[in-house]
Amino acid sequence: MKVLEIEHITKKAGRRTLVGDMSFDIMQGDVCGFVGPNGAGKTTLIRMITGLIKPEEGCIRIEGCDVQRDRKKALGQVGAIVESPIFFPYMSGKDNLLNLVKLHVNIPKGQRASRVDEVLNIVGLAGRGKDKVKTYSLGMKQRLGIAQALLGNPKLIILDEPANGLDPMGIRELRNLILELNEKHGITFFVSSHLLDELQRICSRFVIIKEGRLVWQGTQEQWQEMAGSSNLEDHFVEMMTS
Amino acid sequence: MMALLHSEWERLWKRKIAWLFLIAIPCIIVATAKYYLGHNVGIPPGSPEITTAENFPVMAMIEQLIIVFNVVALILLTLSFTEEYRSGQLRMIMLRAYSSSQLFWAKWIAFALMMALFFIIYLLAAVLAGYLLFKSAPQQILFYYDHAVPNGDMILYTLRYYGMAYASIVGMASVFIGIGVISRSSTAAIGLGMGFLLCSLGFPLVFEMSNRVLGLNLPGMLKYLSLSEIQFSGIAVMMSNADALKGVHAGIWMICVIAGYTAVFMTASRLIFTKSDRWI
Amino acid sequence: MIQLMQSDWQRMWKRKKTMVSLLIFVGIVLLDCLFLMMQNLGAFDNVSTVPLTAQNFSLFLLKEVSFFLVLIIGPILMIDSFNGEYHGGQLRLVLIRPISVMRLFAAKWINLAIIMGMFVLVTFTVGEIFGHLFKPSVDSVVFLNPDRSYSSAGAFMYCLESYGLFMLIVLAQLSLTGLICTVLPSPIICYLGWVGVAVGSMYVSNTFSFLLFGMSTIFQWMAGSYSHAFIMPLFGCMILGLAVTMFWWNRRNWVK
Repeated sequence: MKVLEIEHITKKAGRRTLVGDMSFDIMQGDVCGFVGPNGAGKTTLIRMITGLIKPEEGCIRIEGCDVQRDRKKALGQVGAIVESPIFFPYMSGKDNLLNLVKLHVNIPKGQRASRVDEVLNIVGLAGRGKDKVKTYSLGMKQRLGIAQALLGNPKLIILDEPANGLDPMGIRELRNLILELNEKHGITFFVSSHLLDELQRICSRFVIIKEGRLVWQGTQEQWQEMAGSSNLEDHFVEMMTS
Repeated sequence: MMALLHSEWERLWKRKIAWLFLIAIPCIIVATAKYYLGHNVGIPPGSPEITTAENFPVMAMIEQLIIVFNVVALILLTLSFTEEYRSGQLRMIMLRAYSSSQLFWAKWIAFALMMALFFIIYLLAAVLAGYLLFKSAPQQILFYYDHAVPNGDMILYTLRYYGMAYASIVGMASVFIGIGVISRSSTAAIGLGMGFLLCSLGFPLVFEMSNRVLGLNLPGMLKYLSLSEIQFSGIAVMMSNADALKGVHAGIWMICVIAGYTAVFMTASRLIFTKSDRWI
Repeated sequence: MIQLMQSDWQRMWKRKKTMVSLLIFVGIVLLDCLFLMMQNLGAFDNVSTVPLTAQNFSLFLLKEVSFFLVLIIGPILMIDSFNGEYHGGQLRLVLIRPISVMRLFAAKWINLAIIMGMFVLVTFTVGEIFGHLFKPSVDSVVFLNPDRSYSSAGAFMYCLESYGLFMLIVLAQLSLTGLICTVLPSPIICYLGWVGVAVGSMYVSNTFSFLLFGMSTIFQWMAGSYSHAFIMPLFGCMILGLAVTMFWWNRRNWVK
C-alpha cells in the first residue's frame, strides 16, 4: 500500500527549477533513503510534503489524501523533522511536547499527557523531560525532534538530515530507534541524509535525486546489483558526476 | 583596526534597513514639507513658526529628530549590538585576532559614521526641498531670538543646529548601546530603548509638575537632564541670543548633560561588552 | 480552533517577555496614578483642562499610559507572536501539524486581542480604584465638550465607552501589525515598519492619526468635535488587515 505518492512535482524559485517533474512512491513499512548532493532539492521536497511550501505543479498524497486540498487529513498521518529541530527554548522538553500535542485532534484531551510520557520514553528522554530545551545537547534535541514527530501516531515519519551534528553514539542510537519504530510500530520512514554508509544500514529502498530531478529509485539490492563490484558510495559519486 | 572598521561598516551597510532609511529620506522630507505648507496657512506673519526656504532644514530636523532619528539609531544599534551577538553571527568576528574592545569601538564608529551620512543627506535633501517648495524670506525669525537674523547667519545657524542634533543622537545612542549589550533579544532591546525614549519625553512634565506642586524651586534647566527635551527645545534654547536666557548658560549645561550620558553609558557598555563571557 | 488558541496562549505566557511586560506595565500604571494624584487638573491637550475627579481619573490615566501600549508593549507582544516565532524557525513545529494555517493566524489574533484587553482592563480597574480613593467625587462632570455634563453613572459610561474605543484602536493596530509582520522579514524591521506606518500615515492623511494619537482622537470624538472620519477607517484597518493577512498566511510559503 502506498503511504506517500509524489506525482509530477515542480517547484521553481524565479527562473531556477528547484524540483522538476519529480514522481515516486513510498510503500507502507519502507525505510526509504532520500539521497542527493547539497542543493539537489531534498529539503525543498520535504517542505512540500509537510505543507510548508506549495508546488507549482503536481500533487502530493499521504495515505491517499492530497496535502494541498486536504491538508489536515494528510498531515495527520505524518510526523517530521524539517532541517534541524528548533524548539521553543523557553520551555522544557516535556512542555514543548505538551504544547504541540494539543494540535493533534486525534488524541483525546485525557490522553495527551500519557502520550507525551510515552514518546519521551520511546526516545529515552523521560529523565530529562523537565529540563529547558536550551540546556539540551544536539543529540538530545534530535531525539526530542523524533519525539515530537511521533506525537500524533503517524504512519509516516520524515527526517531531514537527522544525523547532522550527532556523535557516533548518537548516530547508533538514532539508527536503533528508527529500526525499532519501523519493526515494532510499523512506521514508514523517509530519511534524507548525506551519510550513505548510515542509510545503507537501515534503508530498504532509495530515492536518488540530482539538480531537482529524480535520477534513480529502487531497492538496496537493485542498487547493489547495478553498482556491481564497486561500493555504493563510489557508484553514487559516479552517478552525480556523470 | 581599519580593517575591522571597514568590515563593520560593510556589514551595517549591507543591511536592508540602512538602504531603506536612505531611500525614505526624500519621502520623509516631502511629507514634512507638506505638513509645514499646511501649517504655514494658520500662522501669523512674524512668528518663528513660519517655514521659509531658508529655515526649512532646521524645521525639518525639529519635526523628525525625536521620532525618526532616534528610532533609526535604536534599530541600527540593536542590529549591530544585540542581534549580531545573540544570533551567533558575532562569533565569526570574535574568532579573529581582534580584542572585544576594538570590536566595540569599530561598531560604534561605524554607527557614528552612518548616522553622520544620514544627517548630511537629510540636510542636503531639506535644503533642496526648502528652495523648491517654500517662499524665500529676506530675514529669518528664530525661536528664542530677540531680533531677526540675516540669511547668511541662517546658514551658520543651520549647521550648528545639525551639529547639536547629531551630538544629541550620539548621547542617545550611548544609552541604546547600553541597552543593546544587556538585552537578551532584539525585541527586548527595542522595547527597553523605546521605554527610555518615552520616559525621557515624560521627564520634563513630571519634573515641572513636581517642582511646582512640591515647591522644590529647582532650577528650570534641570528639565534638560532629559536628552529628548534637549532635542525638543534645548538645541534652540542653547543657540538662543535672547537676553532673558543669557544668564542660564544653557549651552554649557546641555553639552555637559550629553557628554555625561555618553561617558557613563559608553564606559558601562564597553565594560559589559568586553568582560562578559560569550555563550554563543 | 480552541486547541490552537490554547497551545498559542501557553507559548505566549511561557515567553518571559509577556509576564515581564505585564509587571512593568502595572508599575507604569501605578507611577502614572501617582503623577496624576499630584495634579488638580486633567489635560485633554495643551489648552483644554478640567478638574481631576474620581469620575474622570481613569480616562486621564489611559491617556498617560496609551503610548506605552501603542508604541512599546503592544508591538513587542504582537511582533513576537506573528513574526518572532516564525523568524526563529520555531513555528515550523506547529505548521507541520494537521491544522489550518488561517485558523492559526486567527488564534494568534484572538489571543493577542485578549492579552491587550487585559492590559486595558488593568488600566481601567486601577484608574477607577485610585480615582475613587484619592480624588474628590462630584455629582456632575464635564469632559472636553463644556456644553455636555454627565452624572456619576453617565461619566462612568463615558469612560467605559472611551476605553472601548481605545480597545478598537488597539485591534486595528493588531491587524495592521499582523500584516506588517507577514510582509517584512525580521522582528526589528517589523517594529520599524509599525512605527513607519503609524507616523507615516499621519502625513498621508490626518484620518489615520488615531493610530498614533488614539487618545486625542477619542477625546475629540467623544466631545463631538472630531473633524475626520474615524469609525470607518478604524474598522477598515481592522477587518481589511485581518482578512488580507489570513488569506496571505494561507497562500504563502513558509521557508524558515
